[in-house]
Amino acid sequence: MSDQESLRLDRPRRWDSPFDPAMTEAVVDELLARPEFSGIDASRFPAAAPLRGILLNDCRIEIYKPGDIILREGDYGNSAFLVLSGSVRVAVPPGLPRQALGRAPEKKRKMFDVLRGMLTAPTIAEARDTSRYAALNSDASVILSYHASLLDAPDKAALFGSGVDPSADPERLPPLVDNFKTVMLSSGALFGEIAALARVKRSATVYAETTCRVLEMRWQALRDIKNRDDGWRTKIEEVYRANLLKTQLPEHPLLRDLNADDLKKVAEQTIFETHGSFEWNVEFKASKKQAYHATEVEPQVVREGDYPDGLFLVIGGFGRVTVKLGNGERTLTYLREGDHFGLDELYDTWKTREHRMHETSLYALGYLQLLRIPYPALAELVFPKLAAPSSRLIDAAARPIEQDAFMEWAVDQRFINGTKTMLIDMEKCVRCDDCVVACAEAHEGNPRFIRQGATLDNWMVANSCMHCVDPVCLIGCPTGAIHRSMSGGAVIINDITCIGCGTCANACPYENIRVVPIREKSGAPVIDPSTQQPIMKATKCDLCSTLPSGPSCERACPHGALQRVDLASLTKRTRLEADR
Amino acid sequence: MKLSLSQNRKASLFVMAGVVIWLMITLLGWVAARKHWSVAHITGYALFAVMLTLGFFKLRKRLLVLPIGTVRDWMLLHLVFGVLGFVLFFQHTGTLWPGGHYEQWIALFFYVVSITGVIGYFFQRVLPQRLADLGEQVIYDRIPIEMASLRARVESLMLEATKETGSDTLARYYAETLHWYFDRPRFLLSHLRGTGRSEGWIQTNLKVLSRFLNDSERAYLMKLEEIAIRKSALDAHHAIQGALKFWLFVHVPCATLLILLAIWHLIIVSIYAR
Repeated sequence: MSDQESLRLDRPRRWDSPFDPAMTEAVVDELLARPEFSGIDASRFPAAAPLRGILLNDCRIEIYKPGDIILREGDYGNSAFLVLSGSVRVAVPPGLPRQALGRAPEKKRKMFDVLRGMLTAPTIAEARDTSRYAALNSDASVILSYHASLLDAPDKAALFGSGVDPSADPERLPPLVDNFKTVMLSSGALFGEIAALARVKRSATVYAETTCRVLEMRWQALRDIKNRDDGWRTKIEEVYRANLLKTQLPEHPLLRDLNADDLKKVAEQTIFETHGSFEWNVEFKASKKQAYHATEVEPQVVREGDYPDGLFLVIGGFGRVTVKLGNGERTLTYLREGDHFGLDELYDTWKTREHRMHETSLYALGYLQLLRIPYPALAELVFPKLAAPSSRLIDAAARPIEQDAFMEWAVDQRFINGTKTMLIDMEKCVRCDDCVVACAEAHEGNPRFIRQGATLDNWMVANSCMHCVDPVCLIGCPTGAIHRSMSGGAVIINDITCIGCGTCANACPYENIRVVPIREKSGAPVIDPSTQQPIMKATKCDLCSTLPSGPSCERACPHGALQRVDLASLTKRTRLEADR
Repeated sequence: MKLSLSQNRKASLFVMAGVVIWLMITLLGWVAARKHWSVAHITGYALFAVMLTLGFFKLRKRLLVLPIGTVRDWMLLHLVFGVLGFVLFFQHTGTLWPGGHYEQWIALFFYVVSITGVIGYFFQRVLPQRLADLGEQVIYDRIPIEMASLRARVESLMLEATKETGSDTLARYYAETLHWYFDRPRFLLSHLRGTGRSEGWIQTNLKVLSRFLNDSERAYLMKLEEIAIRKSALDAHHAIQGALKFWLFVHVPCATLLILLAIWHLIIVSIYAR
């Protein structure tokens, strides 16, 4: 096709789609005058991403009325919040009842809309309505501007007590009944940074107590400021640590029976540890090309035979538990958020008063975030209230080695990271490609996965986004185009704000993201006039999140060979095995 | 291949539903016979309804958004109704081969659709496991590309062998015999039957060739063997995946034609029944 027939479109850039187009230079001046920002050395920021630019484009100011829910426990989020004025309250675990947390409306396509789309789907690969890019108003911003409120909860009496009118005082929300524990945060407080930086679910609900002004920062803004200002780095790490201890410890099953005082004592003695690299995908991708055994390069946290000095609680990342076998290490299991390590040996030590050595080793699979509760705290506060463990981790070593082959493979390949992994039973798959056709029909003629991938025995993990527990593809995205959906946590790409830089595709350790040149609906290629290069967009499986029927690939398989599974749960895999 | 417990239950449910539907039609036919109504009308309309349901399976696969069960459930329904249709056909015609020319065309297409359906079912139960056993998986559309790449590799290997060893024995044997093997997919029926003739042919020819080679040439022969074995796996993929696709190219068009013929048959019968 000649140049005359191609569409000229300026190459998208990081701040083409600001977080809030209403942000002004005056607001940025006001922010820079605040103590939180006035101490930052703006000269440490690069010219391409100056501090002013970050505040102007990656931040926005939201006004919340008393009762408005700012973020909900269990949601995924890509931003952190700084209270500028007023006060907010954090509902600490066990949190607020689900029915009180009015959900923001999620856009799902209507059935007839989908059917019409199928009939009118363009026959051109990767065709786009380029007029949408001119508007640069993402759907996400529309959804985000919706504020649910505790005042809309169906059972207000359960929250505020009977006879209390929560909207009586328009300036302040009355306190919740004693069943709900809350902590107040006022001007200058930062919250929501754990979910934004660690790519995990929000751990608590936060709502406005008074009318408050809150600065919402895209995680990219938080990352850039943290990386270039020591004060912010220290502050974020301190807040991060304190919030983690506050939220993680009371939730842990081993510590549930502790009262508030004992929990506080445990928290004071708990040590925060991080092993491996947060950006583990870089090393993993490089190591895939090497022949050595994974445990030779994975950071070792605990060595089999060492004396235990504390109980490890996993709060992020993955760990591999191994035992020596011959001249190698056998994987017994892996640990993820909520799991613990070292209990058997420490409990024995406490019970028998004889020192027991670690029966297994622990390695960080990429990166591993741990809380270490020292033995004295356990002996004094935890073990007296804890029943003896019913089974021991080392018991798994008695299983036949072959039985764990699938797990060993899934751990080595890091497939345990996936929550919606496309697992195909090749003994059932008749290669009809109905899954591929269904995917294409759900995405305007463009399939979003390749029915090929790593295989073990009859199982294939196809090249389709796994919607990871730890989606490292989010790390480098300059615009936040790739993000988790608010509910469900599917990793999706906002096509409008994607600038096609390919950072996500390069970061994905499983090569499940593709960067493709786009075309006009007429078929004309879309070209950047300054470089004469095609405009690119990242594409991947979005789990058919806009369809009312769920993932089309899975629904289309006539033989039940293709399933979207959480590989992190081996019980699921066992069920799959039983299905065959 | 076993179904999961829930799938087994579902399958039993579908089979039971099929039996109940058949009993109801038969009962209706029995009542009709006692009252001297046309039994053929009842079995004919029932058969037509079953055929339409069977035909809707193809459409359902495209209309995934409709909340009418998964395609897997429809597959089960397709199997059960396929058997039901077969039984109803004989109840309707009362013979293996009907009398009229037009009816014979319908019967012919019915048999073709039924037989290809049974063959397809057999293929789908047996062949995927054989594909899985091949190890490396290849997408059907990519097989010609992979095959061309292997051919290029083996030809460049032969040129290199000639240049490095100063002997043209390998290249000559390739041109005379092995070229036939690498030129296009071979031993397709053998791969389909799973008899392993391809591997036998490779071993025989390489053994014949080996006695004329020195050590340095044998090193190239080993590389050649590796490529030949890879080619054999590709041939197997081509044969088996091709079979898994080919039966549908007969089954689906014939089924469409059968439904069209049945519609005309229905119109004619309805007109003359008055």
